[in-house]
Order: sequence, then structure tokens, then C-alpha cells
Amino acid sequence: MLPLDHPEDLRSMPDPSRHVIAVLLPDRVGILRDVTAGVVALGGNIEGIRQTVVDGFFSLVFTAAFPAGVTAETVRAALARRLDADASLTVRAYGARPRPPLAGGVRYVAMTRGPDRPGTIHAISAFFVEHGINIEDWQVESEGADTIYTAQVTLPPSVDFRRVQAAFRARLAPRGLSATIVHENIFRATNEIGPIKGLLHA
Amino acid sequence: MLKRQDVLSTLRMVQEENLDVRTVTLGINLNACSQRNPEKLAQAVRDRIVAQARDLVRHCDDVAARYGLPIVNKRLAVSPVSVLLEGHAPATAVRLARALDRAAGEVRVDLIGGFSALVQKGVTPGERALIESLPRALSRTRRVCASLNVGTTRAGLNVDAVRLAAAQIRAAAEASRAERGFACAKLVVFANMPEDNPFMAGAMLGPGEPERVVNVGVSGPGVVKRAVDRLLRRDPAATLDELAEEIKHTAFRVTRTGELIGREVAERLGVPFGVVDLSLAPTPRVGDSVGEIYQSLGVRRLGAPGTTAAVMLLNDAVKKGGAFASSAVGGLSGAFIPVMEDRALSQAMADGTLTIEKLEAMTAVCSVGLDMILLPGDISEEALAGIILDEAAIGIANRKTTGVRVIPVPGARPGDRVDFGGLFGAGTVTRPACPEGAAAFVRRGGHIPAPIHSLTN
Repeated sequence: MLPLDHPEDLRSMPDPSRHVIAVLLPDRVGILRDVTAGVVALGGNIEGIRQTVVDGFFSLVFTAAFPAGVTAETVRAALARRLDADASLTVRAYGARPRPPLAGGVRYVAMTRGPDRPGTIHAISAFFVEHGINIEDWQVESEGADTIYTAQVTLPPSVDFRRVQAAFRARLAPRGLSATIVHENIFRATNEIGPIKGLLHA
Repeated sequence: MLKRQDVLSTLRMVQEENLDVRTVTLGINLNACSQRNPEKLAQAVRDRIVAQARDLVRHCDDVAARYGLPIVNKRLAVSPVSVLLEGHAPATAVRLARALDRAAGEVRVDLIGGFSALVQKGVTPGERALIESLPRALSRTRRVCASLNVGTTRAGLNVDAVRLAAAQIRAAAEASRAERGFACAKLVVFANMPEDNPFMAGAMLGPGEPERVVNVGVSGPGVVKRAVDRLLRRDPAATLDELAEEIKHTAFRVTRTGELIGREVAERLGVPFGVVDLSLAPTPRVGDSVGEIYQSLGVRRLGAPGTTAAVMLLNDAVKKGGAFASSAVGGLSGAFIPVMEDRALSQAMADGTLTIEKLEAMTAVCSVGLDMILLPGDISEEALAGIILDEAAIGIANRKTTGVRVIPVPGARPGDRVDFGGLFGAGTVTRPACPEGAAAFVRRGGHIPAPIHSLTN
């Protein structure tokens, strides 16, 4: 990702120092430019990135490889110089990428819809934990009087999906929520234009 | 990463709009079962079907569970049974029908198609045996569906076969008098019959098809209706082209879903995937009606002037969305109009706004023809043959499939109500505005030549 102007420099980076970096601050124009300027200044290359804005707060998580010897404190200082004083910044060095918690799991999308009440997210996430389900992405939005929670989740390969689906609906119904879990391939099939065949072994 | 709006619109289809797969149909070639001995022939047919289709329902249930989407019907379509009947008598055909019925029951499918004969240019002894057996075969079995192809754009129209078919329809109605002629609900007479249609009663595995193949039928009309309703809630002044665009997008999604499910079932069965049939097949349930889509579009009274244009709009938009979604589109792929199985159409027939003549006009712009229409029991063979000839002529001249599935109800008169129950639905007996008067034309028999535009080579 981001080969910048000198891709040959990245290929020749021996024994890179890898860090995962989280940035949180009130949103304004130019935050990503400022963060990436700090990374470039240290000769780093961003490898994975996810950015969003939640209720006016800019949130960024990314991983980056730097030349050997660049420490977490060096990265933190380089970025802090370019960010506002009230920015939260976490930099953590890592060696190998963490293994996914459910290797070989099957990806689904779960959705609930209904009135917004305290404790809903806790109820949903507690249900997932009970069934060994890992949440990978979580979104919320309003539609009329309803609040819609959408989660991309991974189910353990051995799980009986029919039972999980039934239990999910039963658990959330008393909270006035309709709930469903649908295989990720359904979304990919209905929203992508590539051959369906490719999804079967994805 | 999945996009938020895409996720929501797909979830809405699954959770609120009853997205499903209407049918997964396994095609099985039976030609290897050919035997001189009728008993051994029937046994070979039963054994082959059970061996080949044993795991169909289990795999369908597993795939439906994996994806959280129902597969409404699991069915079988065999190669035309008439091929196995050369040198046999009609009694063997009845025996074979029973073997098909038993085998279908053993593998837990509700209907099996392919008790069929392709007679567009002539009728062989085996095909005649099958046709003459139809009254007994269909009235003595529950799951067997039959079909005849009496014409093609290249071959023209076999009027002798049409007359034979008309006679058997009447006889089948009489043979199932206790069930109000129900045997006829399992018999379709086609022109330009598709070889890969997964929908009953006209499903068969055509001569050009693989040894085994999985074909699927996409979700029912409810999803399209709700998409139209949602657009109209958002924009009550939406124009017809905007509505067509919405239907097209919805058709894209239901087609992709159908192909996904079909391919996975096919892979688990170890057989090739064939086609997705884009036809919107209704059921008698509220909210699962093709007629209700027309009503949502603005044709409040089905049969009113404008209805045929609405049919064209819907059919074309579904095809465009489906054709972009998949390279494996086939079967009938048109707007199904089985009147008894469609709540809104059945009501329009009862109200008298929708007539056989209007339905005939509608089939000029969609694929299926006159489907599931109740007729008086005393309708003449010539009138039945005339109905088939007219519908077949529309198909042949327009290079498209058309079919006739009509039920002369013994003892019934126009206006009587008949309820077959379940997926076959209920309806009101009707009749053509002018049922008699063309008998001399029909009785001439012979063959109506292929239209000139067939000479394209």
C-alpha cells in the first residue's frame, strides 16, 4: 500500500520495524495528510489502514513498516508533532501479524433493527461471545424510528448456523428487535458483478 | 469490505421481502434405462432416479441453512419418457409414471417432470403411447408432471398432435373427476418448449442437455413488488422508466442469489450447473403475486387497457437485470402467469376484468402462455384444440415459448369456484368469449407450416 514515489526503497527495506498506530481526535480537514506526512518523514510504508468518523471524531487505525531501528516512541513523536494537542495517539510495535481469532471461520453479516435502548450492543455482543462468534466490523445507523446495527462476524466452522440463527432471533425479540444473520456470499453475490463461481471457494 | 448501503438493501430483501430460491431442479437423463421388459424398465427408471437424486434434498437443505435463504421447492426433471416407450404399449407408460411417482417420493421431492413427448413434426408409436396414457398416468399419480411440445418456429405446428392433446386433456379431466379435473394441472402443451426449464409442470431434461444438471428458478414476485412499492413510497411520482430501472436492479440481485445457491448445490451433488430461470413464479400467498406487481405499477384492475404494456415492462426489466447478472440464464425466463396460483390474477378472473382473450394478448409479450385456467367441463375438444393452436401460433410466430395448461372441470360452469389447495391455488371457471365456431378449421388436422422468418440459414 502507498508505494509513494520510491517503491524501490520499500523493496530494499531490510528487517523492517512494524507498528500498529491508532489516532483519535475531533475531525478536521487534513488529518490524514498530516499523519501520512509523519510516516513518510520516517521512511515508512503503510500496509493496512481503516479510517472512519464517529459522531464528529476522526478515528484511524493503520499498520506500517519502517526502516530497522525506528522505535514506537520515534513514530509517536513524529506523528504527535503534526497533530493537534488533544489528539490521542497510540503506537505499538509488533513482530508477526496476529493470527485471526477464528482461523477457517465462515463470514456472515448480522443485523438487528428496532428501537434504540441502552444495552442493545452489549446484548448482541454477549450473544456472539457465547457462541464463539468474532465481530470484525460494526456499524450503526438510524432509519425512521429504528436503529439498525450491522456487524460483520466470523462464525466458527463447526457451528450449527441454523441453531445460531434461531437463538439470535429468540434472544433479541424480547428487546423489540428483529434480527438476522446472512452469509457474506449473499452480499457479495448481490453487490458485485464478478462470476458467481469465484465466490464458492473464496 | 461490504458497503453499508449494499448491506442494508440486501438484508432488507432477505429479512423483509422474503428473498428465496423458488426451485432447485435436478435434471436426470433416463435413456440408459431402456428395456424391452416393462417391469424391468420401470425398475431401472426407479433405481436410477433414486441413485442420482438421493442427496438432492439434503444438499438443498444444507445450502439453504448455510446461506439463511429458503429453497422453496426441490424437484426433478427427467429426459422425455416417450423415448423409453418405443415398442411399448400405453400400459407400460402408466407403469413408468408410477415408477417416477414412487422414486420422487423416495427422494422427497414433490413433483417430477419429463413425462413428455416432443411431437412438433410427427408422433412416433412411443410418443403416442405416452400421450394416450396421460389420463391414467396423471390421475393415478401425485407427483408426475407431463408436457408435450406441439410446435416450433422452425418446424411449424403439428395440428394432429394438438387434437390428440386436446382429447387427452378432456379425458384426463374426466379421469380425475373426483378431484375436479386436477390431473390436467400437471400437463402443459408447449410451443418452442425449453429444454432446461426448472419450473413445473413443464420441466424436463431436453435432448441437448447433460447427463445430470442443476437448474434453478429465482425468487418469487414478492421481492420485485416490494422494491416497486418502496420506490413509490419514496417517490410517488416515479415514472415507468424509473420503475423499470428499480425492477432491473432487483432482478440482478435475485438472479445472482439464485445462481449462487444453484452452483453450490450442483457442486455438492457433483453435477454441472445449468441455468437460472428468471421467471417470477407466484404462489397463492398474499404478497407473492405477479398481478400485484402490475397493481403496484398502477394497473389497479387487471385486464384494463394498459395491462399488456405493464406485462412487457416487467418482463423486459427482469430479463435485462437477469441477463447482466448471469451468463447462465435459460429456461422460460419470462413472467409466469399461472392464473390459479396467483392471487391477484385469480381475483381479476373472478371479477371478470381479466379474460382468456386478454391473457392471450399478455402472453404475446411474456413467455408462458395460458397457465392454470379453469374451463367448463363441457368445453369441446375442438375448442380446447383451438385454444392450444392460438397460443402456439403466438409462440411460433414470435420465436418464443408459449404453453397451455387448462383444466376443464367436469360438471363445472362459468363462475363456479374450484380450489385445488396448496401451491396449485384456487380459481373461477371461465370460458372464451366465443368458444365454438372454428371446429371445421381444427378438424382439418395436418400441419401448419413454419413461418417464413424461420428460413434464416
